Amino acid sequence: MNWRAYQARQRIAEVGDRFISYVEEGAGETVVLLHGIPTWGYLWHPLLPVLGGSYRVLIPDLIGYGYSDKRDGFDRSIARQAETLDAWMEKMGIERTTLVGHNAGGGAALRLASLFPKRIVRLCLINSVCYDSWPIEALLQFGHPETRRRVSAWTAVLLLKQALKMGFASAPPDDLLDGLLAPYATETGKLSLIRNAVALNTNQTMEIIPLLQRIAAPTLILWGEEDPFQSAMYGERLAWDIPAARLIRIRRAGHFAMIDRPEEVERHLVSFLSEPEIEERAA
Amino acid sequence: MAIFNKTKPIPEQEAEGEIEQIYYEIRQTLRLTGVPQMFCNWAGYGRFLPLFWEAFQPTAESRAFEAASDRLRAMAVREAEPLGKLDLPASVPLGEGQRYHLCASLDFYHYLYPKLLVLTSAVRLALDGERIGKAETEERERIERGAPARMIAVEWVPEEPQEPHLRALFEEIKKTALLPNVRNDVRTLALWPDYLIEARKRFAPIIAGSAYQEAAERLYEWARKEALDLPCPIPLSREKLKAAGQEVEKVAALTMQFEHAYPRFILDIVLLEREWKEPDELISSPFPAATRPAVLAGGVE
Repeated sequence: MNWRAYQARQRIAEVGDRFISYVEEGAGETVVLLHGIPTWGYLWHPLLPVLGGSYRVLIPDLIGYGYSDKRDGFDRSIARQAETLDAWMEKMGIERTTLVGHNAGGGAALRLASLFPKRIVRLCLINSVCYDSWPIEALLQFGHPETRRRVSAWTAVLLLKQALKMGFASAPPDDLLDGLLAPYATETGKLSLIRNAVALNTNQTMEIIPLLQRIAAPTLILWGEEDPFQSAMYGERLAWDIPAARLIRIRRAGHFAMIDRPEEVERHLVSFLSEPEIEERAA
Repeated sequence: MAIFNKTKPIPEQEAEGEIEQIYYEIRQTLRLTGVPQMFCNWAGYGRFLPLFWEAFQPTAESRAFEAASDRLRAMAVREAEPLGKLDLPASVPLGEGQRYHLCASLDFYHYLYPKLLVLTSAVRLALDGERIGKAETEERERIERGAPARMIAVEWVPEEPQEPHLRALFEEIKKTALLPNVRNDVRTLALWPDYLIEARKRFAPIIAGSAYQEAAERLYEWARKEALDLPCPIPLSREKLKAAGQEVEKVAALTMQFEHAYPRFILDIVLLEREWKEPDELISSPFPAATRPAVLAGGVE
């Protein structure tokens, strides 16, 4: 599926003064997939046919990202993202859900799971930001307000494309990279991404460390071993700190493990989703 | 064929210093999420934009200017009524999210273009020596500042897009363009290329018709009348510009191009909006402005 076909599937939910673009497919138990920076929901498109047959799959674009609200004038930190997602889930009638998060989307998922543990059925983190693993140097620089003047949207997309390539263990197709960066190819999109980058805040994952032990949901941590941005060491820490967590290292996979090794990630994820909930296990 | 100026416009993201500050003021005062192309073109003419803004700012924030634009918008909706329908949604399938973005973008232009037509008319009249406004000391109501909460962050495809089919389309558009640059709304609609291409096809017979041209002419005349009735003086004479070393004739010619183009742009947006909304809804401003609270020293009244 190309990015335009994916975009055509997106729907809109207004949450307060903001709006969220999302894709929804299938029926059954709810699974929410959260992307990171600098991507959008399109990141997950290969998983739609895999999960859509058995689950109600929802893929929102975080605010400030993709085709969600990009107005210049609101906080895009993972703390605000988690609050907005909570309000969005309320609006979508989602009481409890499985959360799957990648990169900064993983950070938002961690905050949701720590602060609202009863809302989470299962948690899956894929090469997620956590602790003080982030932000990476390149995004710190990108988030500087002067970036707006220093690089055009076109140049920014070229630079980001080069940076994204480093996150793959195997060469990604060009049209996939173009699709992942498509929403940021206008000056408005670029500015929004700059604001997203400056909102990356280590403190917001550090402050929830004491809360990680409150996450009762079964937790699967998948980590592409060759990730140059998020070291697998952080995956190990998460596996120790979250009570019902287990870590699976994905070999020959980078930061975008779900694209480097799609079948392996899908297999682990589908198996994880079919496991009984904690209460069911206890019963 | 219009003679296009060769002065390089200053895009919003490249503006620095005084121009950057004026762009900020334009966004805040005209209540927009982006700076329209005309101001970027004007910024290319040395001191013109600062002189213009100094002269026009009191009008830009006035209720009278907002109300004049509202009346022009309502008139455009009535003028567009007999021009027929485009029936675009049936022929170009858009997803729910794409429709939302498209409609929100059309609302942006439905709000913007009538304001720009009154504004350019006022500037033209001032440059032609017409007296606009009454006493400078007159009390006037001011509208709130800042883009409305629900106005979309307007997006523009670059004027020289990377995608070959869009690049070719823009080249084609430039051949018959009324302005030196690809117009803002076209650069927005290019976010949905199939929609833009189909819209251009459907517009062709309407634009060629005399009813469309007459409607545009009436909007032009009405805007001039509204501009003459604006309450604040607009001290922007040719003599003042010449004294500041400006190329008055070129700026005046460029402004005239915009003044002649905007009535058509207004009609086009109404025609596109009518595909989704009833005329009654379109007559009202998509972003009504509250009154700006009067400020006293040390607090808000």
